[in-house]
Amino acid sequence: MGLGLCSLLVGLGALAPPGDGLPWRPVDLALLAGEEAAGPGVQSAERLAAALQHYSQSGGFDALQACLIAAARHHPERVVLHSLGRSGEGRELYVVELGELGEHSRSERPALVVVPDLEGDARSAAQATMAVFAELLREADREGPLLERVTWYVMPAPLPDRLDSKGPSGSVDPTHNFPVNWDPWCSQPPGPYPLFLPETRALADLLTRVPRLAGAVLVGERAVDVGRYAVADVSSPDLEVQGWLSAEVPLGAGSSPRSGGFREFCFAHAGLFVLDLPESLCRDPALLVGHLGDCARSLPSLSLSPPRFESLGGGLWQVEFDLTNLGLLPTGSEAARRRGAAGRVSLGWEGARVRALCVGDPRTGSFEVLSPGERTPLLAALGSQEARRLRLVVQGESGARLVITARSPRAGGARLEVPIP
Amino acid sequence: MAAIGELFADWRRTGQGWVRLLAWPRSRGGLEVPALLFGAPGPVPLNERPTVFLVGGLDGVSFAGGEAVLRAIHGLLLGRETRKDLAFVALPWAAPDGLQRAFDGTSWTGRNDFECDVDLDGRIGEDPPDDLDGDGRALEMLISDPSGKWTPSADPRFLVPAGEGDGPRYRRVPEGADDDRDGDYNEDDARGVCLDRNFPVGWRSLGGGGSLPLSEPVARRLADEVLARRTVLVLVFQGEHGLLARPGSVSPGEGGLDAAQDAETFDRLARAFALHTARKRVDAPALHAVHGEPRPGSFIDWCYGVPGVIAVEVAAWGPGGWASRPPPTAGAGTGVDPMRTGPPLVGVESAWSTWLDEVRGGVGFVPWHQVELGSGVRALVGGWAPRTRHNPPDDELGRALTGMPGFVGECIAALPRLEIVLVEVEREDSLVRLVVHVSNTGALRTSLVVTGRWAGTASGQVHVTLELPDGARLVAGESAQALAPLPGGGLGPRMEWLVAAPAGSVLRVTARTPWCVPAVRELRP
Repeated sequence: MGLGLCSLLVGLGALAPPGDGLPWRPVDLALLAGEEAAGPGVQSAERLAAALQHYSQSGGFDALQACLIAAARHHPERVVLHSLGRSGEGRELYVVELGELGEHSRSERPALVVVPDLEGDARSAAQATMAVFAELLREADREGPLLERVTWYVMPAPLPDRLDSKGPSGSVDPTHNFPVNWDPWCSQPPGPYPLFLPETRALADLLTRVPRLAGAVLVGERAVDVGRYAVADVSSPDLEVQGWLSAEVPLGAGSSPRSGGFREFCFAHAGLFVLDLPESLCRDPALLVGHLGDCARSLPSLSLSPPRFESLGGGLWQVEFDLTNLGLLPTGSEAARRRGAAGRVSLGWEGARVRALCVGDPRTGSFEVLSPGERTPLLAALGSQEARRLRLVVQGESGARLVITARSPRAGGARLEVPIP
Repeated sequence: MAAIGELFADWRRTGQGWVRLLAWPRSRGGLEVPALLFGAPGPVPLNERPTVFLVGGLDGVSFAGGEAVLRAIHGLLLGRETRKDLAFVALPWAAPDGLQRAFDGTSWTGRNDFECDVDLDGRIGEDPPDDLDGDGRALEMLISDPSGKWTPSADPRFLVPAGEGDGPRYRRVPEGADDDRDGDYNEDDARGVCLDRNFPVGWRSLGGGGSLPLSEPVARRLADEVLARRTVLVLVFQGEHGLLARPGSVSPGEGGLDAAQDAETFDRLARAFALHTARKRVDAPALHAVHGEPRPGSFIDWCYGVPGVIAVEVAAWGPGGWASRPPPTAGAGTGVDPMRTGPPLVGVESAWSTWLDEVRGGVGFVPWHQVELGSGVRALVGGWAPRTRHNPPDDELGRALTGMPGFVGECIAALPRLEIVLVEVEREDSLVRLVVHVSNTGALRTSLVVTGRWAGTASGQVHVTLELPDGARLVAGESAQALAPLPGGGLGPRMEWLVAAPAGSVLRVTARTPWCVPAVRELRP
């Protein structure tokens, strides 16, 4: 990382502490026992490399924890370590946040969570997820686009107790302990209630309390077909999008929703589209970075086109422009809307008095008037690569700069600044 | 609320260590949830005893249920016959946010103060109910709508579902203006979750279920407390149906829980309820049947379906508790318009109409009257006044609660109890022959049929062990046996052991099952 950018980012970090805006405080690295805190530098880079090497050999929780701490110390401006609580046996439930972490930067970009699919072998899934983490760290080193476009939340060990034990532990099966289709009479012990385990509760917290999450990358032994997502009350538009994401998986396997399943929870409750990442792909860095790039590019992203001004006389102007979702995923899902994360787009403006906002109907070409008095009107969610034509009636002085902003939690924001003719 | 606190403190002072306050999370609105643990002095500590839960007003509406719980506690603390092998956890005011508003007569939604986006439009609390007619309360409002689902019945005070050709048609909404001007009235009052819809079995988010099952700390604590104790019976005092209802908040035809397999147990409690409170109905219908609509996510469904606890809803107030009366006849003072030809009122609604006219003289129902909604739009405002339908009027409360302590006492007396019945014990030199039965002297089974598999284990078996002293040896028979659950008053199979034991040896037979304190019999054959 170049010194100039590094200084700038550290400066931003000082203005807005990296943990702010999230439900969890960052782990205070200075309080951790063991090695003394070290800022970025050759020494910390060596420690990180050594920690990653040690973890690749041992695969245990302590080695994984050492990696995460070393990475947070080496990249304090781009990597923040959070703990969502402790497991049943007392191990920390770590999640690492990677990206441009100033609070302003966070709100400008969508987020992805990377987490092992709980149904596979915990140790191998954690290894594969740590490969993703390592690739994202390399991206931080080379200032690559993956961290500029997206905030990443990586949780390599959601069931950390399994990293140090040989067999399944506990009397509750976490893969049946989520609220979607939870079945108390399931043949695998589903727990006395959904999210009974601290581990499943922490995962649910992560997926539902970070408003910018647009998708979940599940690292697993195999991808599944869209049948897994056909939960009773899920809407067909969501299934259509998920079916497109799952298209590479051969259909006909007869998959059906798992009672209390994690994947079903991601999709039908948290309203996140699921992007599968097979473990085999994680063994090839070139394929992996390409896949992560595909994931990032699929996320919703807002864009405002240059506006056209037309005088209406008397200092009034009609300003017409397009609001577009450049991403392949919609700005929101129907499932997310049902739990209040609507994926709507809020508009704002400065520099002129807005007298009316109208939304174009693509079928008829006509415009519908929205409430003119509202400061930040909410527009319906935008579908995959959908554009919506908007028309403002503004009153402003010639030469004044009109600023238009658009923002949606899962798509970040877009800003346009133009002079009034 | 303060009165409950004083009452609890008083009971605690006089309880000599057998009455304790339980710490409980506060409500979302910051109100205390008073919780009491108590039992009769006895050899087994309270935390180790089979436990009965008495819960009042978990629906956030039925404060009369809280009164019933307080009376039951009083009866149990005074009762000299209270069983020394049981503990009691009591929450008379289980959903304080909603109960306080119902008590004040300002709202009957039962929801807590958790602020949420009820209509999912991204904003919170932008369209709450309002008092449009200035009478100091927000009741119900009828919006004229050709596609509305309701139409006035033959008694035009009350609405019934509209059939084909029926009219005029209305939408029913809480009283108030369309504050956010979105065309819907009072659809977002920012409140919150109904605790009795926040449990996981059959849970749905819509209708006050919350964002997740057990999202509410008070509800979660209740579930954890039931799991942490050897819970045998849960009595939830709430509702306006006047009956004892068994689990089944959604009909089995719609995927709901079916408690019919345990009907014998629930009907036994219904008979006790009828006996002590002068009701006629001696069976326990399902929750959805007594409410006339689904009530997904109820506490008793979870108690029954997952930990396998006997759980019922007991409504002190409502038509189930009234002697049957003839339907209202048309004419002055009855509210029935002889010229009107709307659909007739039937069932429970008819009973409420009769009660209103014949017992209350029509007082307690605010007649529908026009209000101005702005821009020339009008609506009708009116409906049941506070302390009429959801809770009894003050002068009927005492009668509604009559017999509740006796009913609770009989439920407790009916709970299973293990006893070891000695059939034969004989010694010949050092050889001892021992024959016993295990019996259940309670009127209820030692477990239910339906129990969730949350821990992957079957529950309800009776485990019998024979312990021998040093120097003794088992010659025949199993030292540990698991028996099938025993019915009320039932006798288990004959168990026989042959033991070689020196004279003076003490043989100990123990029978255990989750709902009972262990039965122990020591023998010195």
